[in-house]
Amino acid sequence: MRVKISEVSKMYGITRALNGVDIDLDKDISALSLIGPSGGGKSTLLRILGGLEIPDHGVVCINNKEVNYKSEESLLDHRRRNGYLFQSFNLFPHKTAIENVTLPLELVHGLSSSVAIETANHCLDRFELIEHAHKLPFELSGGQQQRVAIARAIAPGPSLLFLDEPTSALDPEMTGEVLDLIAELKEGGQDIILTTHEMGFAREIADELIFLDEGKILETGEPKLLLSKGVKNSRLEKFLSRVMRY
Amino acid sequence: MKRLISLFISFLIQALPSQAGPDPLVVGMELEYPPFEFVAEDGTNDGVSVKMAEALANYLGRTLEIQNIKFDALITALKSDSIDLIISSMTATEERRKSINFSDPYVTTGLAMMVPIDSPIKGIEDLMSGGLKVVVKLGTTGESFARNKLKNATILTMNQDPACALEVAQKKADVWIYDQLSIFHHHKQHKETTKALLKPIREEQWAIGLRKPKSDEDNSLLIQVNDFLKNFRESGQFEDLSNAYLKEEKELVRSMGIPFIFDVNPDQKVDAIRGNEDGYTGSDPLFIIIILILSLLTIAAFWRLTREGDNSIQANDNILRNSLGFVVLWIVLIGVCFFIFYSINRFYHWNWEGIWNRRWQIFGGWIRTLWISFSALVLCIGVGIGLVIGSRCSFRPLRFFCRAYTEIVRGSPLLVVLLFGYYVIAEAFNINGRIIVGILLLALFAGAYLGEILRGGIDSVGKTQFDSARAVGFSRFQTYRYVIIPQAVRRVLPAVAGLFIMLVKDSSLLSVIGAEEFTKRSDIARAATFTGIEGYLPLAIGYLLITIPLAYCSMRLERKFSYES
Repeated sequence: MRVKISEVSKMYGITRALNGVDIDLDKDISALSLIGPSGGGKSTLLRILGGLEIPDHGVVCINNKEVNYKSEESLLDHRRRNGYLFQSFNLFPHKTAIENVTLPLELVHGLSSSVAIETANHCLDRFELIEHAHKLPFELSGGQQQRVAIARAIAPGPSLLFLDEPTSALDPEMTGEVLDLIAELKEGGQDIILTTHEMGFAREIADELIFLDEGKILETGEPKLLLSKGVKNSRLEKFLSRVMRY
Repeated sequence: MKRLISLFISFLIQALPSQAGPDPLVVGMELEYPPFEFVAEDGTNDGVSVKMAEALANYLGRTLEIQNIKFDALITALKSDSIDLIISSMTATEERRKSINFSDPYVTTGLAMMVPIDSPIKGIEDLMSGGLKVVVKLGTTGESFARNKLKNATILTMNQDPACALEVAQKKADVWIYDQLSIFHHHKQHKETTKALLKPIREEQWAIGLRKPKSDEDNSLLIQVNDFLKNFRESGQFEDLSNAYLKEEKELVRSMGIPFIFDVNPDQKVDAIRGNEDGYTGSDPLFIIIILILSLLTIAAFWRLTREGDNSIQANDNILRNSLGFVVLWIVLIGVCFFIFYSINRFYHWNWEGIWNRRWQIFGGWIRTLWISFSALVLCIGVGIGLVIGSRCSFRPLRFFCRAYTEIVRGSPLLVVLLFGYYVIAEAFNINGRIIVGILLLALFAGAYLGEILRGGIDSVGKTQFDSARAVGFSRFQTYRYVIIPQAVRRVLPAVAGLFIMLVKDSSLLSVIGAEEFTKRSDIARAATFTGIEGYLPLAIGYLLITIPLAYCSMRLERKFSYES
């Protein structure tokens, strides 16, 4: 995957969420992780990359294709091509697990209902959810809900998968089951861009890390280099010392 | 605390009827009929009848209490003993005599007509031609005259005089039949558009109404009242009253060679209108079966509704305490009902015959209320959705209009919306179907409420669901159709059910613009038969037959759509 971001800024009211973000990743990487303190702009940047938010200024190119924020149609197309996963799962609470997966397949990707069900069953089976297929979200645990959400995101075969802090609403045991799944997806060749607080996981999975603070990219690099002792940037050092302390 | 109790007791003592002095004489009248009975500018009760009542109380040595009661409810009030007398320009008719007693007459008047200014109607002969639209006030002799004599006419009953006058002034009706003086006064309000035909088409006499005594009660009040009237006339006080209140009318009428209203010869008996004798028509299996089925359905729905969420016996339930509670509850309920029935039954002459004979008419009104409510309901969903879409669209004038519409309509009383909508707006656009206009107005009114409920429901679904729907690639339409609306609907169902139940009940207000729905049909039957509670009871039950099944449907829908524990 290739990502090129230039001069991207975003204001929420009077709060500056992104302040001129610039990066050009011209390497062949399959997993990119955004890290940094809360409120540093990770989620905003991810939402812009995913086409859920429109930047005030700037240009975003993914895989040499510029994202056209001016046209709702092309944004819709962008979102349909990629998958997105939220911290709080955001399943449709009035639909069963399998309906959550089949609904976009039928409505957005034009699959017939039998093909959609077959695809959904395959995904749910892969994530060991097949016995929960006909349950409503409120009947599932947090980890199960997030796995259904992943199934929903990858069922159409997205070219990119955006994960916005996929485990921060889960307890440690469930975090494990979801992280295993994400690692497995990457092994299977899925390109992923994610934000996370799990530094260990980021180090394991990501090919490239971006450190964001106060709406700016302060550091980029391979995880091993960036997370090793003796880093140059004092803010990154401070951030790491806080998240790694316990 | 002690203070509070003593205060409470002192209130109780004051509330009890004091034994000192005679009971006040309670006179019922509708204070909407100047110059006979009305409320003066300074807020005091005034008019010929008020002065008569004062003199009568004085004559009897009792204090006077005047109660302002709707004309068609006066007889009910009298029968149920909440008033002692009716002095309200009431004509003594044979039909009314079946329910109450009358004193000697004190006024002779006649029915007159008000017609549009260019009307060809000149006299009573022209009324017989048929195909006419006749407006009358509910429960008046004008109504019984029209119903009994004008067989070919369409009869429209209204609850208020000004509405009758408007009907004629706006040419929605061909003629209004009412007493001379009222016609005279209302004609003055609509000089440009109407003509008053004052020559009496039928004479009638007004008298004071008294309760029919039950067998063991004495009848002395009637004798006293008649003595008073004789005395009042002989001392020339009727003449004084007419000079004080009716000088203009007196001169006008006498100049037309018609005797003035107080020129009564008490011995002359005016022939009464013969009502089409309502024989008791006996049993009617079809009707009974329909009512039985509806009642059973409603009772079943009621049973399920009241036991909602109550069907599992919990471990910590104290069965003994619960059963005991139910026993006490039922004893209290039955006791209270019995007490109410018993105290009414002491004076009340039950007369179910008239209502029973009009059962199909009333049932027709019930059916009409049913479809009025449901059409209004369907339309109001459209209005509500339109308002939601409008108040979210990017075209600012439309957004402003929707917000303004919601606030203004929501802030106005339905009665005003109906009267204004029908007599002003619909008149301006020349739309004339009462029921159609009524349904539209109801829908527009309820739609404003529904719009707000829906908006709240959509807002409550939350941003995360919008995010999620956009993330899987739904278009704006798909987002609303498959994600937001289904969740919003579930959340607003209880509030919407409440609104719909209100809508059914509010449809009764359509009677003010003359739509003959359930309430109006019952009113007509009640007024025609001079019954009271006998007319209200079926009305109460009839509305429950609609609203309880509606509540039950809403409960079923809520369950069906529930997606959270």
